[in-house]
Amino acid sequence: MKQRLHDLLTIQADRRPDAVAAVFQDVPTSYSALEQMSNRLGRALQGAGCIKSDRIALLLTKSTRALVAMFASLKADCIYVPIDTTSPIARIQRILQKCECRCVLAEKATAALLNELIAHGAVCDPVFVGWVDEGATLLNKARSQFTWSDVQSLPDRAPDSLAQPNDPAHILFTSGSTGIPKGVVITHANVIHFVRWAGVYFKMSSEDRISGHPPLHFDLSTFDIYGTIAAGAQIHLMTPETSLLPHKLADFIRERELTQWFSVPWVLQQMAKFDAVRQGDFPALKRLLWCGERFPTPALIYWMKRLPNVTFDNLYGPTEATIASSYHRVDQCPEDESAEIPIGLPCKGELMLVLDEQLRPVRPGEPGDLYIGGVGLSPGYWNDPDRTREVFRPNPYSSNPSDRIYNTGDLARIGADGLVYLIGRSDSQIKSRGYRIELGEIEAAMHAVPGVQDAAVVVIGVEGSEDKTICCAYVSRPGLDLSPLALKRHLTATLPRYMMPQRWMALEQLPRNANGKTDRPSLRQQFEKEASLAGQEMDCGPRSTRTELSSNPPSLVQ
Amino acid sequence: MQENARNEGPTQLTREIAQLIHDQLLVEVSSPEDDLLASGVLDSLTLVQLLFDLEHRFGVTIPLEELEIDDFRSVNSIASLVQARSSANHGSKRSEGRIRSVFSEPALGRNAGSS
Repeated sequence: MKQRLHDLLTIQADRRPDAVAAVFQDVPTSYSALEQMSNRLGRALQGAGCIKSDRIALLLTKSTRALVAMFASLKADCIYVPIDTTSPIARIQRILQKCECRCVLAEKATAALLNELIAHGAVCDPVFVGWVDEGATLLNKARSQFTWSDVQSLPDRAPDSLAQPNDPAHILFTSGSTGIPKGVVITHANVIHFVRWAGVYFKMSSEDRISGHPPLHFDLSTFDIYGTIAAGAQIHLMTPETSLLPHKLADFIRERELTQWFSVPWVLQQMAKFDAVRQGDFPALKRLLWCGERFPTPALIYWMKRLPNVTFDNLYGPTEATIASSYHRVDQCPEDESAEIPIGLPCKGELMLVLDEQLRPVRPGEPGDLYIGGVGLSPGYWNDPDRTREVFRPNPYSSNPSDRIYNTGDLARIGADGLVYLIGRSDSQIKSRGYRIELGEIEAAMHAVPGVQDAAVVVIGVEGSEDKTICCAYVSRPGLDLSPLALKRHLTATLPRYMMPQRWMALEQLPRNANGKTDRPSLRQQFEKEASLAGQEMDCGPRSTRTELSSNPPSLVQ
Repeated sequence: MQENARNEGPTQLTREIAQLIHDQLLVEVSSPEDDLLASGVLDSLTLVQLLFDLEHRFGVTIPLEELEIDDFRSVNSIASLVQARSSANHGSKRSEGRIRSVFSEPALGRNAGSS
């Protein structure tokens, strides 16, 4: 049967209506409750005029109700767009504009944010607001169509759904180098292919208790959600605050008796760094998965030594290829702290190619551009054919002309063992704590600050470790002397906090190379010099935690 | 610094903490009641940095594993934490009980600071 994502829920609700599907803040929700709530909300969306392929912005914090909103949007044949509610207004506004939403689903907790968006003209007629709880008062300019009590009065039968597996299910926004976030369109089939593969590979079952760590606008979370539902398992959603203290995370895994943990490596590194894991800890845990960036081998060794009965899998893949495209199980605890962990082999139905500039395969061992093809590939960026064409290309090795490959921007090589190894990036995208950041987006935001004449953003720190530091060198307009604090105040209005530079340098002019371009290597050297001076003062090596802790030495902050 | 933390009222202490957040994290906090977690001023990166700065500035020891998330909710709650820790630490050896760290890194302090 050709399934859509919401069919996964309906099947489980029929099969085991009373089984727990989701737990949030100690409150369990059954499969039948999730099914019925999403049926009702789906009807409310249709009743308010939503039609097939309309975009629904989810201005919701992480909770079971947010999951209801996702399934409801799908049942109403709509495309949902999870919004990072901690993002600055200007950024949310750009996302709402870009995807031309029909509806914003909001809750009391995001009402103030919504009213700010309304005041900025980002939400106005014909866009309407639906509340997934009792809601709050809106500024005049916006229209509220329903609250949760209206939703509850609707029949709990599934609304008529016409969606096909190849229709878009959601749009996930990621950092864009020009300052405008890119909306990656993901179809029902994209997610279902991955979830099916993972269900078999990880032997997922209804006995599983699965972590829900990443925020809902991160594509990792789609595996947690739909992987759980497909298996008839339980998802245990975590609040962002749980992540702040490593030992609280460990408590969570222990108390909820999680069987599967999936997150970006940063979280696992923090838990290792602060020694939050005991020997033989988490007896219920069967598997630990990470994705999003390199997991430094010393931290991996820490985990593998403490949890000898757990399997460890490295997943790799950009949002554009849906959750993950390749996998590698680390069977044995590496003996050498410098051992390189491959990204492995493509998942079933996926294709990975390491190609040169003419799209010819490179020889084993040689570096090349990593391309991905196959069942996970997004149809492209929402409403952005140019950027889509730039990176999604026809597959020269396929007889099917609609077959495409995606240029990941990652450099890779194929090892003697036949496995794929990552080398680095061919552009200025970085990963910091699992967040994907285009340095160009930060520079664009800097150039938009009044009084900034020029700015360049570089990254220093050990590749593949958490010690990457975003550094910003800038030139103020003549007569002005902008302080990092003032700049930060401006950037807070346009950039998410995880993109905020940590080191600053005011210059008379930016260094230029022979071609007149900004000399980034020279800037990196200057920042590294400053960093190592600050590091010496604190008597620590480059790999220590001190690099991040010393990110604002007094000498650099006026 | 320890003297300040012990002898002067919470107003002075909250002002110093707000100043510390201003100087070290480059963030302005408008009220000591502001929710630093909900607003995202403190995240997994800045929290550890602040912890280190507090230890250094006020000469207190704050073991990470004994912390509750609400201890960092606002400048006021951080002030209560610092006060509680400075009376707990008083008389104990300054160099002990730092944030525990593996990978043979040195403990997370600069020097004993100004105490």
